[in-house]
Amino acid sequence: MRDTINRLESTLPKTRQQAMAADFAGETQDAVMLGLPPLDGALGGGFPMAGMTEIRAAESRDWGAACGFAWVLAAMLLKHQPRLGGALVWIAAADARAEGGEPWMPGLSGLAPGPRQILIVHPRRTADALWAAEAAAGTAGIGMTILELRGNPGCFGLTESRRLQFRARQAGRPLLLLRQTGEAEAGAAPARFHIGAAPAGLRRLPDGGRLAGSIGRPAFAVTLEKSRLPAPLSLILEWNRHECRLDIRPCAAGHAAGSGQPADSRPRLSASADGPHRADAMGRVLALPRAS
Amino acid sequence: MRWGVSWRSRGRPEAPPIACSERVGSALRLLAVDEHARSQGVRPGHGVAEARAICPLLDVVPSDLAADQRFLDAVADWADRYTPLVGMDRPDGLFLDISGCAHLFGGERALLDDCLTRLFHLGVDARAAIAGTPGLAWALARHDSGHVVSDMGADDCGDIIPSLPVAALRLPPADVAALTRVGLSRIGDLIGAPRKPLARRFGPLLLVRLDQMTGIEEEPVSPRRPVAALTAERRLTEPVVSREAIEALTGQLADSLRPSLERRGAGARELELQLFRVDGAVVRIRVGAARPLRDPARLRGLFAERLAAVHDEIEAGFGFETVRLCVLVFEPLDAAQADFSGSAEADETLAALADRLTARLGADRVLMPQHHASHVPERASSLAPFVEGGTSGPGPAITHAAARPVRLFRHPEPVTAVAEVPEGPPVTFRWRRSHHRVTRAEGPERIAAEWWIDGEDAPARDYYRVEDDSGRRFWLFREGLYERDVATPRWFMHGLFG
Repeated sequence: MRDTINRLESTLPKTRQQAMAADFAGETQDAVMLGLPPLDGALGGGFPMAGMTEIRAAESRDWGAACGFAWVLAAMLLKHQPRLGGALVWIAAADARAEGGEPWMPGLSGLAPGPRQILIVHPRRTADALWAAEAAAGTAGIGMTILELRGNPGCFGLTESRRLQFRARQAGRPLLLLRQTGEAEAGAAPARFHIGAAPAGLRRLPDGGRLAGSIGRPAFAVTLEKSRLPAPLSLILEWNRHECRLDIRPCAAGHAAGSGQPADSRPRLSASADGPHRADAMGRVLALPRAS
Repeated sequence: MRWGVSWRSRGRPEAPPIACSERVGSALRLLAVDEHARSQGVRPGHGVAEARAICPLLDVVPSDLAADQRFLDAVADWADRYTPLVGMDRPDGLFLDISGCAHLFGGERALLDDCLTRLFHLGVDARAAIAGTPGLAWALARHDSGHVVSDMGADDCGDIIPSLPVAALRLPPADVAALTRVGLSRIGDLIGAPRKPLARRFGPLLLVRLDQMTGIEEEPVSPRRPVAALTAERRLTEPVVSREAIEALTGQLADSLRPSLERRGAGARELELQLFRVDGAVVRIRVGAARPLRDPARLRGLFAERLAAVHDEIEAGFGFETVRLCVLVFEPLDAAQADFSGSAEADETLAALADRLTARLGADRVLMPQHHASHVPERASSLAPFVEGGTSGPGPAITHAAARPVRLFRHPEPVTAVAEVPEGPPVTFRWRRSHHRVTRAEGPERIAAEWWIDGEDAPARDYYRVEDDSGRRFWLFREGLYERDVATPRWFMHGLFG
């Protein structure tokens, strides 16, 4: 029996190992350094140019952050690899659009410069969306594909995910899978980000100070859930549009509102505390005779 | 009561005579009767009571004129197999302009026989004739079916026209009755007669009809649908059913269209694939291309996507016997030279992808963003169907400093908000049943409605960019101003920031 098991093991995992080796071979060939050493290291030497990367937001309230991060990532890849500049295909599923709004170009181009041409696809069903993603990923001349899905649809399982990953890796182009309110599930994407909201930085003043109470550079709470690292990696990244790069915000100053010294610090009203004219607690304890 | 379509070729089922009735004025009259009823002496125009007295078993069915017209349309679709120029002659006729088409079917007589035989097997009792003018063909089809008059100048024609009744002139019934009353029952009586008194007495239409029949006056047949610029077709001895076979045939047809397109220096922008089913139904599949196309493989690919999308809706039945590919719109196609960066190639592949997606998903689902000079967020950017060479990029760099959200709700969602002061930003708000406490807010940015579209009473909006205590950034606005508008201002959620 042991022989049988050994024989089975020698045949089966070989194919899987080969497949995994192929997965990583495609990924290491072509990667873009994001300029974030912990993240680049965890991704195995930079963001993979070929293949699928999953970005998910756990709640639909965080959808804006997830979309913003995907777009920012696209802009960074575009800056480092101008050959991606041709066109971007954004496939937006109907339910994701209904729940999270339409991708809006004035806002996106205000956040980061985008590619020359954008094709927005509104598929009727999830199956159509997957088909369109496969077609777009396999077409030469399409720089990047963003596939947007809501939740974890049953028709997008491991097989379909592998298929998309294969197609994107063959074409040597990135495919971003944006998942709205999705659970973490096993997929073929070598890397999966979980994006949450993070307080924005403060606006800079000409004298180098910060303007209190202002909303400055957008920030993202990024967790690399799936990568080569055994443990997830959490960072707060701040987007610098002028230099087109992401900066790591030091964890100690995680709450941006308190970071830095506000230039026009106003005296704050002291929070109301246990003052003398406090209202009495409801009800009083009285020593009533026991009615036995 | 359904007899099926083939009762004419297989024999009439045992049933009482049948007639269709129609309300004329206040009386019910017969509009049409079948042969069985006719043999019993019932005629169209009889009152229903009178007809029942003649033939007590008569089955009278109310007529359905709309269904008759639909049927005529279906027959016209079917007749597209003979010529692209099919004109309607309502309520009960079709004109087929077969100039230059007859030799494809082995001559005029063969075409007529083929047409009548096929219609008979489809269960249609049709009468037809071929002549040099629509007027004469109309007359012969109704009074001497099966006739072929190929040459208008021949003696044959000279014999036929005078012997036809005046009813064959397509005149109103009152005119026919007036002519008959004065003894002019044959067209021969009219041809020789002086024209001026005829026109004075019976009106100009009589002479027009007479000239149209003899060919002195030209009468065009107006085609039912636009005539394709180029057409290639394939008749099959064995009907095809499977999608793969139809695709392969489409590829062959596209291949045979290529020389004609090359000669014109053109490429197809809109194409239609017509599938003629054995039982007479016609399926039309139309695809559009983002740029002029000539390559058979690309054309075949487009139809493959479209067929994959609609194949479940097509009922192949016993198969398609004729497949035709028409170029409806073509445009000049210049061979593009790729520049050094290869961007011409990239454009081409984007157009190819857009075509594939459009063929499968529909034109309203493959879109490109367009920018408009409008302050109102909903109008600043719109989505339009993809066309080659249209502007689609992110557009001009944003000129104003105000930030805009990356996701915009098509319909702003109402929120309940609490503000410290009426004109100030919200302190807390409730959106989709969850509570958000605002830590920072920027604004207001006042965006007034466009009075030339929305009217002068439309309320202005004060937009705030707010961040809640967990760092989510939202775009909220208050519709209406406290000092100016009467109604209480309301708060809405309009977008999510990245």
